[in-house]
Amino acid sequence: MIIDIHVHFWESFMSFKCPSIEEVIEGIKRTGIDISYLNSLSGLLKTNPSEDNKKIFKITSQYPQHFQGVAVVNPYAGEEAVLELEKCLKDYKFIGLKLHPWLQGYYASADFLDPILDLCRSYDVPVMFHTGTPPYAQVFEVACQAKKHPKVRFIFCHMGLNYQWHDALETGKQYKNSYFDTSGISYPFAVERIIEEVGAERVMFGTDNPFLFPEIELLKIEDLNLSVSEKEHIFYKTATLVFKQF
Amino acid sequence: MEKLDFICHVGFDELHEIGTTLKELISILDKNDVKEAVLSPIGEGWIHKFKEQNRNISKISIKSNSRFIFFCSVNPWFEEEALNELKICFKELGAKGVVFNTVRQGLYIDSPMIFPFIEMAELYKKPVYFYTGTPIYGLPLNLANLALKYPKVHFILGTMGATDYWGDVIPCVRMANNIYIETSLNTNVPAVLPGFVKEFGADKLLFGTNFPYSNYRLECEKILKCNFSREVNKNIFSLNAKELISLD
Repeated sequence: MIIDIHVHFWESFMSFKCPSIEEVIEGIKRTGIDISYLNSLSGLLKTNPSEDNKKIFKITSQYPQHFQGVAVVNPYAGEEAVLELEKCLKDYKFIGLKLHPWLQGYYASADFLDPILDLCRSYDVPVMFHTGTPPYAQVFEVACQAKKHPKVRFIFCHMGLNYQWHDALETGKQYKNSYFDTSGISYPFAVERIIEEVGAERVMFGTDNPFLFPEIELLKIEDLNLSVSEKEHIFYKTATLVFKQF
Repeated sequence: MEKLDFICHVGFDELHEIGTTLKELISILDKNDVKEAVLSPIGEGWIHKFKEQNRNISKISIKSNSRFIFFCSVNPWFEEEALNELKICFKELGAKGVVFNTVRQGLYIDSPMIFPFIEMAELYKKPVYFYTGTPIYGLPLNLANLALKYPKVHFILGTMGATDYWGDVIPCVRMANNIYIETSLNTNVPAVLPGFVKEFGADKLLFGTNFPYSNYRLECEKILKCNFSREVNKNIFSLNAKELISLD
C-alpha cells in the first residue's frame, strides 16, 4: 500500500505545462501508488481558487480509486478564503489544506493565517505547508504556527529541502504536531536522519507529482536503510492517521 | 552508458554530518559504470583547509591514472594566500578547474573579492564551478552577472539552483552563454531539463552527483526519465564534460 500525500494538478503554472489527468494517473500506476492526495497548484496562485478546487473535486469524484482532494486557498482573501475552505471541507469532503507561503507571498508565521488554521482544527484536518524556501517558507516560521496552534497537525512538505533539513529535525523533536513529507528534498541522508530521530510515524511519502518524477521520489525512499515497519509508516500508516483516512 | 561525474567528494562534511572514503567512492563508481569523476574538496576544504585537501586530491588524481579529475577549492577571504594557492593548483598540482562554495565561504558569487580568482582561471583557461541555489550567497543570477563580466571564462552553475532556484537556470543561460549547468541535487528536473534542451540544446548540461550528498542511482535515473535521445544523453553524461575539461 502506498499513499502519496503530495500531488498537484494545474491549469497553468508559469510556462510549465501540466500533463493531462490521464497521464498523471499513468505515472501513478507505473510507480505503484495506490492513493494520491491531490491539490491545485494553479489555485494556490489565485485570490479566488473556487474553480480550481471545483476542478479537483471533479477529478476526485471521477477517479475516487486514485485520488482524495486537498483544498487550496489564498489567505490574502480573508473571510472569502475561510468560506472557500469550509466549502471544500464540508461539501467536497476534502481531507486537508495546502498552503504555499513562497508562491503566495506571506510569512508562514503570519497571524492572519489564524482563522484558516482554526477552521482546520474545527474540521480536524491537517495543513500542508511548503517549506525550505526563504524568506517566506522557512521551517521555523511554520514551527511558530505549530507552537501557536498545538491542536492542528502541520505537515512540513519537503522537510525544509536541502538547506533547512536540520531545522526540520529540530522542529520534529520539539513539536509533536509536526509531520513531514519526503518530496523534493534531494539529500537522502537527511531524510534517513529525520526518520531515525523524529520517527517514521511522523513522516509520510510524497512526490510532488507531476512537478517531480514520482518514480525518482519512490526510488529515494526505497534506497534508504529502513526497517519494514518504518517503510509501512512512511508509505501509508502515518498518512492514514494524520489525514484520518481509516 | 559511459559516465563522467562532474562533481563528487571524499572526506567528511561536519555541517551535514555526511562523508565517504576513497575506497567506498571507487566501489560505487565501479558499480555505476562511472569511468571518470571530478573530485573536489568538501566541508572544511571549502573554508580553511583548502590547501590540505587540494594536495590530498591532487595525489589521488595522479595515482588514479586519470580516473579522478582534480578540481581545487580556495576561499577568497584568504586573499593573497588563496590566490597563490590557486596558482599553485593550476600550475603545479594539476587542477583542471576550481570550485567555489560561496554559501559556506560567506560572500556573494559576484563579489569583487572573487574577481582576481576568476582572472586567474581565465589566465590558465580553467572552468569555474559555483554551488548555487541557496540565498543570499549562492544565487544563480549573481553567477550570470559574474559570467557577463568574464565572457571568456566557462562557468558551471552547480546543482542547477537546488532546490528552489530552478526557475533561474534558463534565464541565467539567456543572460550569459558561457554558463554550463551541472545537474546534481535538484529534483526539479521535469520543470528545467526538457525546456532547457529545447531552447539551448544539450551541449551545456553536465551530469554530476555531488556524492556523498546524493547517490548515483537517483542522479542517473532522473536524467534517463527525461527520455532524451541517446545522443543527448551521451552529451550530458560524459561528452560535454570531456570537452569542457580539455579546453586547455
